[in-house]
Amino acid sequence: MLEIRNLHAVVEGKEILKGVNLTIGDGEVHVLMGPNGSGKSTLSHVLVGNPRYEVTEGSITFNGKDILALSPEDRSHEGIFMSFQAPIEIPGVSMTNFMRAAINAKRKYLGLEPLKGSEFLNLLREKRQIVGLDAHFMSRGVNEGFSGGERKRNEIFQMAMLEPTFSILDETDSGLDVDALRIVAEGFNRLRNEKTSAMVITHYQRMLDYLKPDFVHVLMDGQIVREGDAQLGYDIENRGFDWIRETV
Amino acid sequence: MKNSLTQYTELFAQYRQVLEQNAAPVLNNLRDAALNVLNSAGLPTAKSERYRYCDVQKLLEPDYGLNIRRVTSGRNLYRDFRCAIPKLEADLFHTENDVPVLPPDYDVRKALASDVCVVTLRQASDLLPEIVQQHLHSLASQHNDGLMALNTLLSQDGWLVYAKGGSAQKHTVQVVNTATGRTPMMMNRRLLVIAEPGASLDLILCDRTDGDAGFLSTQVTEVVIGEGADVKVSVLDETNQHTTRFSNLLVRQDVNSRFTLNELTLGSGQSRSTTDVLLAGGGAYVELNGTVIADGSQLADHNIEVVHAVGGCQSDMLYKYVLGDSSVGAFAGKVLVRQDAQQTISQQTNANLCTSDTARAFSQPMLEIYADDVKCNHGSTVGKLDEAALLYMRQRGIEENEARLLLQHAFVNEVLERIDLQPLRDRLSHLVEQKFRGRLGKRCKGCDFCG
Repeated sequence: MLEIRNLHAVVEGKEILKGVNLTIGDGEVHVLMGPNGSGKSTLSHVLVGNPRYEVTEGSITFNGKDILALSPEDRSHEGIFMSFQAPIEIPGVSMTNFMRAAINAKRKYLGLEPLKGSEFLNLLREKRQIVGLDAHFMSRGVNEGFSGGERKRNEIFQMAMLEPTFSILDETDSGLDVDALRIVAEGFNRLRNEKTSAMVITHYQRMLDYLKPDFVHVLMDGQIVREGDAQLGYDIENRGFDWIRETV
Repeated sequence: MKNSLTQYTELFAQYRQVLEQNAAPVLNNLRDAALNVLNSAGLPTAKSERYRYCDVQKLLEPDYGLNIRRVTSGRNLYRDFRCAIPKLEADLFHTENDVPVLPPDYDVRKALASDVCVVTLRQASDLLPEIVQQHLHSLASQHNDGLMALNTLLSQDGWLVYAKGGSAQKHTVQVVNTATGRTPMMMNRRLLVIAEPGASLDLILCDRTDGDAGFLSTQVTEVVIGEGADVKVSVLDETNQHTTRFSNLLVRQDVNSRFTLNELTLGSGQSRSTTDVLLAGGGAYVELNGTVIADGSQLADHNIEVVHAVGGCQSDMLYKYVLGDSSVGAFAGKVLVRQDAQQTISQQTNANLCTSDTARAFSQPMLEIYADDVKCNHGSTVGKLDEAALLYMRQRGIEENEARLLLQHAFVNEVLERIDLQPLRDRLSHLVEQKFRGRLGKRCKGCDFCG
């Protein structure tokens, strides 16, 4: 599904990614771990096409397409979704209007007619229930007045609405209490199937417990330096990153 | 060579008799005083504190024609005008250039007997002489302003909107001012609004143009609000880019009255709006809201002064500008709290969004306080679109242009949401979107009225 080859990227003149290689297959969940500042979020932002980040070398292909040539919106239409580490507040744009614009933009890209009002509202209701997001959030501005937990639930709700094939969860678990984490992780698990894949950035064992990832990768100083199964994640939880750094 | 002012004062001297013969008599009484103001103070210059961002003399330089013989096109505006606000129940009145045109078969006697009476100033001179003489120019005469004096010198007619007290029902009146003609024209409009104690009035003023000619309008609107009365004025400017628009709005509020202004500036190449509110009675409340969407080389200049003359009044100002291309937005809002105006509450906010590198915003919020028991604050911001929000929306698949539009609309929504007349709010919101999409002024289906 996703092939990242020798990816180098700079932000504000500083090279953050220094040759990342990563392959993610259909139906796989990969966890990306690494110390702060190692480039995890940069990789996420490069994948979704944040214009602040410049790719200087390497390639990313997604289902055979060179996505570096695509705009952020077209990458979204192709099936890439990111749950943001710090979901932004957009006062004045209601959640309902925001989601309607997003859904209909995707349908237009796929050559489909816009959803009828009633169909859209039914979809909204159905997907809200996956993460237990109350109806009144839909009339508020995007993330406006949402608590930290509600924002993260809102991210998974949007993921449910857009039905991506590849999702990036950038520290979606950070700042959540145990109940909120369970709701978010269970919501994510309900959306998984053999065709969908994910790259999950996390620092916590509890997320590994819920997601049961197929692979764990360790990113340090802009490169993936260690790969393994879920056990690698638990080892890092117990021992930190130093023992890996010493072997690199 | 004639300068900006003398071309009009000389024309006035030459044609005074014709002008006055074709004017409301009540306006003729004011011309000598206006001429004195112009001769002594002249037109405002950039050195005048309140006109720092608007070169009045330059804007008055072109040789505009005046319609002193009050010729109209004969076009039936009431039949042809189809862009009314959907679902709005309002009494509609048209002004062609600066000539007020009554609806066909308008029953003046019936109008005089109704809760809200709308007549021309010319009719009011005959039918309501005491009222109109008492109030017309009563606020404008307090200001030594050259622009208002020019309007007073040349204006020939206008509207009186007279809301009587004692009716619980709210009335909505819409006045559509259309500038029309093939040659550059100057129009001098006059409006007097009187709300008796306890009266309630919603007044919608729409300025538009028919065609691409360059127009210049001066308009002086005086609003006199009695005790406990509630007046809302909404002003929509969607004139063409060749229009220069000078507007002076003067308001005097009595005890426990309410006044709300909603201004939406979408059109005009150059526009200058001056608003002066005098809170003269305790417990009065004023809310001034403004939205500007400017592009090209538009200038939108708002200058506001609210005077808290007595205690226990509240004022609230919220003005937001979205400035694109090389447009210029200027906001100067002053709240003056006089020594006796204890327990004043005042809030003033101006926020500007520059969507291009060449757009400019000037913001000047001011507080001048002479009382010691007051709660006043003000704030001002100038910024660009939030790139993080833009990325967030694009990541969800919303195209960049659409995301920008949604963010810009969201920025001004805070102001539009203050309009409590739902059909008007919906209409203005629609026009804002049309402006953002570059479709403002495109003809609506089935209508050949506007350009």
